[in-house]
Amino acid sequence: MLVLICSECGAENPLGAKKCELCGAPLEGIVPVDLPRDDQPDSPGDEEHLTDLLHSLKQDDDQDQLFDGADGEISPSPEHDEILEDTEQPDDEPHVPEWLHRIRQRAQTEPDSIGEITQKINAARESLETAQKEDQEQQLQSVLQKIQDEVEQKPPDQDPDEIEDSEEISTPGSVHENWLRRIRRKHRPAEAEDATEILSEREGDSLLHWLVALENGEQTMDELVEEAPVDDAGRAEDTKETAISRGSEQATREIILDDIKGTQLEAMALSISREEQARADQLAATMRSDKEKRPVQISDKPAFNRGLRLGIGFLLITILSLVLFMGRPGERVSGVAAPHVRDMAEWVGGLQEESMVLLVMDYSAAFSGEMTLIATPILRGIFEAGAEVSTLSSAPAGRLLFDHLVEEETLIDQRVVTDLGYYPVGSFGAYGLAHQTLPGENEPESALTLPVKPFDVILILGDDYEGVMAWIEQIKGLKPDVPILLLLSAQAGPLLQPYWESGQVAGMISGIADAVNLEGQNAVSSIHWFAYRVGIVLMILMLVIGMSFPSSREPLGDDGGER
Amino acid sequence: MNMPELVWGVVGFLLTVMILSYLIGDNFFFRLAAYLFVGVTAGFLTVLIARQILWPYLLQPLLEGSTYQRLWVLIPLLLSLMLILSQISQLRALSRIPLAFLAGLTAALVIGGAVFGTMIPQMRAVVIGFQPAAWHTESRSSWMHTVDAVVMLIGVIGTLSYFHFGSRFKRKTDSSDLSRPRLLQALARVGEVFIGFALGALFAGIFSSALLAMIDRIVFLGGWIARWVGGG
Repeated sequence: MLVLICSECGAENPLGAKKCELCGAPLEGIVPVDLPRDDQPDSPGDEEHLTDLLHSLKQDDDQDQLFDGADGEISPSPEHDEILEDTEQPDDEPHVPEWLHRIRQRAQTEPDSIGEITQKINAARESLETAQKEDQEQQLQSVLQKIQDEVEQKPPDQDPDEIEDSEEISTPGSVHENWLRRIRRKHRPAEAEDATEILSEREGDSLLHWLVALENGEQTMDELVEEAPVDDAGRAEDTKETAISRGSEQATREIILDDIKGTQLEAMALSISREEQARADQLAATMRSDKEKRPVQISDKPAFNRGLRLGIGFLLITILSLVLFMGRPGERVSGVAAPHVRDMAEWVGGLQEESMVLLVMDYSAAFSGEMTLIATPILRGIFEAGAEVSTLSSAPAGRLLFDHLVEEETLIDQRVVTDLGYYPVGSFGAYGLAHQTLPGENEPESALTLPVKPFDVILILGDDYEGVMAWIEQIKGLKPDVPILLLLSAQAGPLLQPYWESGQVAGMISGIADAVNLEGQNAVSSIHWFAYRVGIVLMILMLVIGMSFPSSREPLGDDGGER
Repeated sequence: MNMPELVWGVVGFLLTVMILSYLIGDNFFFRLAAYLFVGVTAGFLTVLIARQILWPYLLQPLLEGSTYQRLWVLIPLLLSLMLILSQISQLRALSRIPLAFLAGLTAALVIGGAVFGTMIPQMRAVVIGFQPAAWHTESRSSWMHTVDAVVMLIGVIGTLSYFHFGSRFKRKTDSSDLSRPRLLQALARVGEVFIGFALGALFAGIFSSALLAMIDRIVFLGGWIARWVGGG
């Protein structure tokens, strides 16, 4: 059938037409072409360039159309499935083949890779079309004539490629595609050289090479499969790429893959760059390590450590017990009282009868033994002076501790000891005490917990420097004239010493050492003092040994609660 | 030794041994004693607060007080109810009022106390350390007082410099060269020494207190055994 081929769009027009039915270009001077099929419909999208088509595929969301014409089944390997599961493939595109998915990923990470090819090839084609605009009709005619001549004169022993071409020409419905393909092949070398030259500089970009080779017709799909490159790590990609062509001739876009035979799915391997492989290996190692059991670092000597601890503990207890119960009770205690201890003693000695003394109980029961040793001589002096004593607790067991503190002191007359109650927060208690305001006329009698008469001295018994510091800050900030005396455990003393240095505290005793120095030879705690000194020596010795020979440098498990 | 003394003595002895069993590591008896201590403390604290705070300062005025007294205690009662109602998710916003009240009051007390009770007096003490009239009338010579005052001043400046975390401003900032001025660095080194001494003294104090606590327990155990063996 003779038809007129539009030189502008390539559409087939019936013989005698003056203008193209599709683009409206004049058909004057067009030589009619005799096509084997006269009922071949024309499609405006036939001349879609492969790279343009791939580029459009990248941006095309309607992927289901790609499978409409696929007769073959996509049967990826199990490895293929695993890889697809590992990749972040959207849920709404469950049937996108992996090769297309990879192209998309590459296009996302390298947005210019495909677009650059397309631009270059389009530029080359446009320049070619511009340069050969005038001779296009003649060339088209000559090429078509040549093709027809080749088909007619093809010898039986021609090469497979030519046989394939002849088969394609003789295949109904593919005449038009063959015609376009041959035109493209004829003019491709010039543009392909440009693209190859550009892309040759991009080493390792196998996708681009594949596209260029496929575009140039230099490699078929089978050849690509055979020449599947092996990555640097020596691992070949096992995944099979599927090629899909559409069978619908009326579709707006049609994939033209010359060397894909029909819709047969071919496996094709893509090279993976070193960085990709490294990331994949890292991800695989991470996933594998998450599933594996982690080795638990357990000390290889737990029994030894436990035994050592137990032995040292028993040794310390035994030595202290021997010192406490077998030692001489009249151990001579000598020492010079520190200035702050002497100030304390002077204040207590200066108390007169009817003096108002407030005892603030701010220590916990754990330090009851130490506080008893420290506070006993001071309390004895206070009660011997006949002072009126009041107690106020900022520790829950403050009143109980006071009772325990004075239970064996026969000089204490419980009638003169007033309990002012419990203040959960030391700062609030100290603030209220410092204000010491009387309740109003209509306020309840129970609110009258603080004595009206200002205290002559406030004695704070504490085991924590923060609690004692709060009392000092509040009282001295509001009542700077009220003297404060401190009876402290050894752990609270060092950080409260500056308050005595600054004059905010009138005197203080910290720890058993100060108490023994205050009492001197008559100290009731002399035997404790002796055991204390022995214990200090032992502990220093243990510290030195422990620092010299650490038992274990490895973190231990829950074998014994070692910290 | 009567029966109550014997019973409580046995309880005290067992609890002490259970705590000392930590020498062989964390075990059931140690945890039992620790949990018992926590539980007893919580119960005791609850009763103590109810008896010494809620009843005399809140409930008793409500029940027995005059109208003025009742109105007066309505404020803390209302704040307490707001705090309790915060356990209901829909009314959680109500707890912000009493919490804000507590936070503001506590901040005011702590900051005011720190400034007027510690910062200013301590700064004053550093300054007057150089004043002979403020020295203690002791046998110490004046140069020793002066040395004390100088050392204290150096310690204060060094410690404050150690906690100075600012850096020198540079127009072209090089991230690898962000450091304090050299003078501050030198003072900070000196401050490290003083901080080390302070922490060492604190550690020794804790050590000492712990040792005395253990001595006290050993005395208790020995005394109780002696009384029990000796028949009281």
